[in-house]
Amino acid sequence: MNVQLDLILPPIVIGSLLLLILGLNQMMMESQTGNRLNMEMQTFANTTLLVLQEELRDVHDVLGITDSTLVYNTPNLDTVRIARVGREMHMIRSNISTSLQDTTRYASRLADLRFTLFLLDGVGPAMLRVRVETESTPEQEVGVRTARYRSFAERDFYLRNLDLD
Amino acid sequence: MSMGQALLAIGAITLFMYTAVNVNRTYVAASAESVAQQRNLDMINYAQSLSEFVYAQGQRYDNLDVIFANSGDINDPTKHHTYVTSIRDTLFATIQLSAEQNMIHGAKGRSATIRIYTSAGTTKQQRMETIAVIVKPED
Repeated sequence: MNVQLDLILPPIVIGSLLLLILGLNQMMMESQTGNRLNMEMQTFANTTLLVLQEELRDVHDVLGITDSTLVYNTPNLDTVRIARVGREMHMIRSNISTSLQDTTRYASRLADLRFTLFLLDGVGPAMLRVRVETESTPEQEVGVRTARYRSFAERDFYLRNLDLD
Repeated sequence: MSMGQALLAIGAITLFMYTAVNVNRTYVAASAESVAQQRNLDMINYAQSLSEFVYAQGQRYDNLDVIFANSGDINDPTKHHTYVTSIRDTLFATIQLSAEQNMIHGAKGRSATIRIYTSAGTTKQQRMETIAVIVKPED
């Protein structure tokens, strides 16, 4: 069979180069988006912890706690309920005398929010461990990845008011 | 295909392969940087948790030496704190108390130096340091 290499090889070479260029472009887009999302998720996880740190200074009395919900009284007897609702953190503040509710919604990109109340060394002051996990969504990403970008932040808080009362 | 064309094609593919490898290397470096950032965040949060732990001991001021007796030696596994993070990284920490000293507004207190270490082969490498102050309760 008479094969004309002169005609066949150039399109193959050009095709290979095009595939390489497109592959590189896709990888660079994925890399850039991945970096941005990683950074975003880490920032959201840490900022959520900072928000909670400020709020937890007001804990006067813990009324109830589950894995994902914390209910407490503030010194002026407002009741505050902190919970994860979908991908947001909700902070619902109720006034004891008027029963009015004020809800603050934090778009924290949450995948998990956990509270654990424990006594230091089993007998000591009350500490609250908060664990925050954030996660990206497929809509934010490039390509058809199945794994999501995640970040974690965990910190223990000393509940001073609870200890001193 | 002439010899010239073949060499040109091989040269072009070599150049693009070189570029592809470098882009891959950047991709790996960026991922490594993301993991390093997560580790740094974990270290900062662990140091903050230990600061809260130190503050929590303020009510037991007279027993501080006993409470922190096994917290100050990174080379002795029984005398430092260990914590496994969410990404399964093991962090180590020491807490060293100063002697009692004068603080502002006439108060007295002790400072606790918290150091965070990571494992570097057989040794531990210090990565972070923070100081928490415990004020002596008034009599």
